[in-house]
Amino acid sequence: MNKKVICIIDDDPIYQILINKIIIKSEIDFSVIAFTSGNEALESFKSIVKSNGSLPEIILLDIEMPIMDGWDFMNMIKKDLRQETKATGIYIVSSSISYEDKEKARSFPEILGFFSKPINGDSILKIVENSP
Amino acid sequence: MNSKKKISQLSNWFLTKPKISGLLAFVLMLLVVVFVVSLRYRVIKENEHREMSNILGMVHHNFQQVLKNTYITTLSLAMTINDDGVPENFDAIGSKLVSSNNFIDAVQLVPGGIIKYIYPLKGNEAALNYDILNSVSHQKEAQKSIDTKLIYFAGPLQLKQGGIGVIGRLPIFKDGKFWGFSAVMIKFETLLKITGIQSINSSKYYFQFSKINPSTNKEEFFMPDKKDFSKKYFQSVTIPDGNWKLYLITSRTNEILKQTLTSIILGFLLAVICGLWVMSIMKKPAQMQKLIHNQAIKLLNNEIEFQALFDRAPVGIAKANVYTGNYIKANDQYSKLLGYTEEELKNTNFKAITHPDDLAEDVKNLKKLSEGEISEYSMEKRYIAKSGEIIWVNLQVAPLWEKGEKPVNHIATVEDITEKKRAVEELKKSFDLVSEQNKRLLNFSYIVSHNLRSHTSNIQTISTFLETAESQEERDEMIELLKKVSHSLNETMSNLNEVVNIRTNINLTVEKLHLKNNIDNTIVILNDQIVKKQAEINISVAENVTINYNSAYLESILYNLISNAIRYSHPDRNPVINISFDENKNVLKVSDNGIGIDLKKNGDKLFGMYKTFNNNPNSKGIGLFITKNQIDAMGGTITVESKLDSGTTFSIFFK
Repeated sequence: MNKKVICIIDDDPIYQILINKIIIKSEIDFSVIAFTSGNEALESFKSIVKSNGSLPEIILLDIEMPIMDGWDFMNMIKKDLRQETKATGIYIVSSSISYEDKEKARSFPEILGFFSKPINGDSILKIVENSP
Repeated sequence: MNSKKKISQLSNWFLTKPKISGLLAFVLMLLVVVFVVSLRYRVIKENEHREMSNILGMVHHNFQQVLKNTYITTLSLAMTINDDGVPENFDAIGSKLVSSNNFIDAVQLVPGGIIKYIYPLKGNEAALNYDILNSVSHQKEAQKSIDTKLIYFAGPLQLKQGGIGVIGRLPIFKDGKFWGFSAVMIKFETLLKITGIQSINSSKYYFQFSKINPSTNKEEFFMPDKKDFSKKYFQSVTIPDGNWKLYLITSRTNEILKQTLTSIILGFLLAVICGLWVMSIMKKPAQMQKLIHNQAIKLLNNEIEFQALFDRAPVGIAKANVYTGNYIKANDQYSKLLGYTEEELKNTNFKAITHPDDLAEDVKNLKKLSEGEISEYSMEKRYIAKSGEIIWVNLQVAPLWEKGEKPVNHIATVEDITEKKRAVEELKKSFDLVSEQNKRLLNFSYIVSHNLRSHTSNIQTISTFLETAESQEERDEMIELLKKVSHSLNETMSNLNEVVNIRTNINLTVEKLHLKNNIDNTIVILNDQIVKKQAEINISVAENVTINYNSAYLESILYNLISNAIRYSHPDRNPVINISFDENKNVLKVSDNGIGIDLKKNGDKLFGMYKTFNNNPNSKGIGLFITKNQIDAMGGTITVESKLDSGTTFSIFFK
C-alpha cells in the first residue's frame, strides 16, 4: 500500500521548505507533494485521476497565490473533481488572519479547517488525526 | 343698441329692487282701480241723478197739474158770482167741482176776505165766517195774491177746521175793485197723495217740502223727516205759485260709496296682491342676481387669490400647451429660474430649453398624460437657462382638463434642486473618494497583513527551528533561510514604502511635459528588452502634445506599461506595441498583441498589490498597483481592455 500523502499548495518557497521540515519533524508517516499555485496542483490531480492514481489524503491550501488562488482552486475542485476529492481533507493554511477569509472558508463545506500561519507540528498532528 | 342697453339697464334696475317694483305695480294697479271705480261711481251717480230728475219731474208735473186744475176750479167758482157780487148756485157748482177734482177737499168763496161760502160745509164749519185778511197766519199771503192779482197758494198751514192744508186763492175783482177770493182747500195729505210724493220708494229717496214763511222769511219744512239733509244729495224744484220748494233727497247717505266700497276694497286687495306678486317675481331674479353677484365676487376673490399664489409662489409655475409645449403663462419664479422673461418664454416651448438628455422622458410622460394613461407625473430634469447654465429641477406636471375632456393645457411646477443636486453630487464624490480610500486602506491592510505576516510567520517558524536545532548544519540552513526572508521582507517594505509615498504625496510638483519625449526616453531605457524580444513599437503621438504631470510618475507609468507589454508577449509572435494619444479625449493608449488577461476572472484584482496572473518569474505584482496609484494621485483614471491570447490595451485618462 502506498504512503498517505499531504499536498502543500503555496507560492512561498521558504514556507515550502519550512512546512516540509515540520512534517518530517512531527514523524508522521506521510509523504509530501508541493505546488506553488492552484492550477499546477489541479493539473497534477487531473493527471493522477486519469491514471487511476489516488489523490492526496490531506491538502494544505494557501489563499494568496498567483494565477489561481486558493478560492479559485476550490471552485475548480468542486467543478471538476468533486467525487474524487471526497476522501480528501482540505485545510486552509494562510498568513491571512482576516475575518472575511475565515468566513469564506466556512462557506465551503469541503474545507475542514482554517489555520493562520505560522503552523506548527501540533497542528499538523491534529490534522492528521482527524483525517480518515 | 343704445336703447336696448337702456332697456336692459332699466330692467336690471327693476330686477335689483323688487320692493320698489312691487310698490310701483301696486300703485299702478291702484290707479287703474281708482279709475274704474270712479268711472263706475260716476255712472251710478248719473243714473241716480237721472232717476231723481225723473221722479222730481213727474211730481213737479203733478203739482203743475194740481195747480192748473186748482186755477181752473177757482176760475169756475168765480163764475158763480153774479153782477151783484152774489154767488149763484154755489153749492151745485161747488159739488160738481169737488166731485170732478178728486184732490180738492173744499171750495170757498171769500167775499171781502171773510169765508162765507164753503162746499162741502160738512166738516168745515169751523172755517165759516173766518176773516182771513185779519188773520195773522193768512193775511200776508192773502194780501200777496191781491197785490199780484194772481192765484196764490197759502200754506201748508193749520186749518181752522183742523188738519194741515194748502189754500189756493184767486183774487176776484169786480169793476176793478177787489171783491174777494175764490179759494180751493186741499189737505196737505191729499196733495202729497195726488202728486205722487207719498208713493215714492222711501228706501231710496224721500221728499221734503218747504216754504219760506212769509212772516219770518225762514224756510219751513213740512214733511215728517225733518233731518238736515244739506249733506245729502238732493234735487229740488221751486213752485212759485205757493213759494214752495220740493226736495228729492237720497235716503241712504253713502249708498254710492257703499256700492263702490266693495269695488274699492277688492281693487285695493287686487293691487296689494299684484304688488306682492310682482315683488315676489322680481325677488327671484333679484335673489338670483344677488347669488350670481356673490358668486362672481367669490370667483373674483379666488381669481385674485390664485393670481397671488401664482405670482408669489416660491416655486416656478408655468402653463403650456400639452401638444406643442408652447408656454402660455409663466410666473416670476419660473422666469427667474430660467433667466427668460415671460414674453420670451411665450415665444418658445419647453422642449427648446430642456436638456437634450432629459427631453425624451419628459415628452414620453407628457404623451402618457395627454392620452390619459397617467393622471400626473413628476420627474427630475434639467433645463438650460438663458445663461447656458444647467438648472436641475423637480418637475411636477398636472393636467388642466377634466377627465373626459379634450386635453389642451397642462400646468408645470418646478422646484430648483440644482443646489441639492450639486450637494448630492459633491456627497457622491466624497463618498466615492471615501469608498475608494477605504478600499485602498482595506487593500493596504490586507497587503500588510498578508505580505508582512507571511514573512513574520516564516521568521517565527525559523526561530523555533533555530531553538530546537540539533546540528550546526541545520542551524546554518535556518540562518540561510532567515537571510532570504529578511531580504524579501526588505523588498516588501521598500515596495510598501513606495506606495505609501505615492499616497501621502499631496503636493506633487506638476510641470508641463512633452509626452512624446517621455515615451521616447522610456523606449531608450527599455531598448535591451525590445531588441531581445524583437518588439515593434509604433508611436502615434504628436510632437507638440504636452501634459501637466509629475515627471517621475509619468516616467514610472510609461515604464511599467511598456515593459509589461513587452514582458507578457505571446510566445507565438513578436510583440507589436502601439502607443497613441487622443487629443480630444486626453487619453493615452498602450496596446499590445500579447497573451492578454482574463478580465472576467482577474479584472478586479488587476491593479491590486502582489497580484500576478502568470508564471513569469519577473512578475512581482507591484507594477500595475503602483501605476494605478500614481494615476489616481494625479487625478486621472486607468482602464483596461483585454482578450486572452490576442492582446491588452491600457488607457490612461489624464485630467
